[in-house]
Amino acid sequence: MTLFRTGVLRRCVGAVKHCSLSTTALRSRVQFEPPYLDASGPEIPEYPQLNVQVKGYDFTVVEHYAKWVHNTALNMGIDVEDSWATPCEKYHIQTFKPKSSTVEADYHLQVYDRTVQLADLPSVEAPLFLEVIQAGLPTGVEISVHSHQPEHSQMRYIPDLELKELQQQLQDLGGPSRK
Amino acid sequence: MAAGIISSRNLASFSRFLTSGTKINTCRSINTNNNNSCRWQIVGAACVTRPPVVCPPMNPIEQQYSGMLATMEKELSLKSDHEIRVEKDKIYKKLLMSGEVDDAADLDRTSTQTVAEFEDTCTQELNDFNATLLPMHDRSETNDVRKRLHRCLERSLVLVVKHKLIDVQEWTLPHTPWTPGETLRQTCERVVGDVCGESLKVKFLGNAPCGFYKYKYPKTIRKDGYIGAKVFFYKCVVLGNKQEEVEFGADIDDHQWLTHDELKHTLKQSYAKSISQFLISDR
Repeated sequence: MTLFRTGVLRRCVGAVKHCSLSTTALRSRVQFEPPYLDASGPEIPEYPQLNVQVKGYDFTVVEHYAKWVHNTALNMGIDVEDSWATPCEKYHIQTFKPKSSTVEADYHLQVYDRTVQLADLPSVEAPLFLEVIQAGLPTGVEISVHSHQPEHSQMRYIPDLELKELQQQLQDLGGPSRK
Repeated sequence: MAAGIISSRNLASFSRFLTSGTKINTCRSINTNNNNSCRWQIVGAACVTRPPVVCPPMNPIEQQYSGMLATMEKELSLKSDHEIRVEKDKIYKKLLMSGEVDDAADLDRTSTQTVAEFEDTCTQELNDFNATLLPMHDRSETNDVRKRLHRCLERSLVLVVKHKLIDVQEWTLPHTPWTPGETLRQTCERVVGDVCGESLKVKFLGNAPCGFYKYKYPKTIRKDGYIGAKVFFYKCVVLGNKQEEVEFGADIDDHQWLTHDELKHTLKQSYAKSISQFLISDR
């Protein structure tokens, strides 16, 4: 059981206190400002959408770490757009005795997956956030920080097999009659 | 994000995030004919860190708590297949001893592996795995230990060097003066390349410096009209987990990989203070 270092977080909150507004406060402030003020774009360049993907074999560790990442981002004043879980990947691993097909060991493993999506992360805060994340990284967990692509959100949908089958049948019959 | 030359606008915006609170001197010493009191040499320094490789050992409280959780989990858990098999085996042996069951007639016993054999293979596999792990603590306590990159696997280490060219021999982070025409980050990349050679793969975090330190040169070595230097620190992380050691450049007298506590003792007070402001503790 790994315990995360919340001491790290408290020290970092002290350092960026002057810019850590909660997201609700940010939204309420923006309502009363005219839009032309922000028309030229943000002062500091921002990453539009960043996915922090947490993967690991141990379910409790992955869950708790993803929650911690989410809370850290909120505490640092970073806008967390979305956070979701992807179904786990199941692996069936068999090791064989050398030069034979007798099974030596049989394992069933699952790789659990959680993602936290950050919106408009200022590039000045990004290195600090990533360092804090890495400092609290537990054993056996892998993080991957990448910009969001459409395939990542497409992956979350369960394909409708019946619909696909019907569409395939339609294609076979020569396409729709009315275009 | 493109690494542009630090303009005054960016200086203003990142100076908000510097915890030292010192204002950056805007009269920079490029092609100015100002009097000497305005000329500061800009120096880029690289804080090369090796993050912890292994989890730190648990506190007594953490050990007690995790032990308590483990016993609770065990008590509430269902029996595994192996445990059921062990119990069945015991019952069967008892029946065999009392002579109620005939050994040859029972088809259940034609399993390929007995329970004891299974446990033996499992413990053997565990021992083989443990043998491949890195040793946690280096027993040799010589001074040379501090030079090795693979000491203190559960702490994060920072590289400090002694440069040859400066008269006053002090432990500092690797640094070099900024030359016009390159960004500060490129200066720091150059520093790492010169000091550590090409063998060390390093990743820089961000284009903005994370720390700042200002010091005046002693009057004897005020050269080229600079009264002092302003050092900007960039953080970078050592990538990879190679076992071989790093070759260091010719400018370096000596080098050490130190933990954050050792940094406080080895470096000068004011220098250590400005460095500690941007280092994230690993405790």
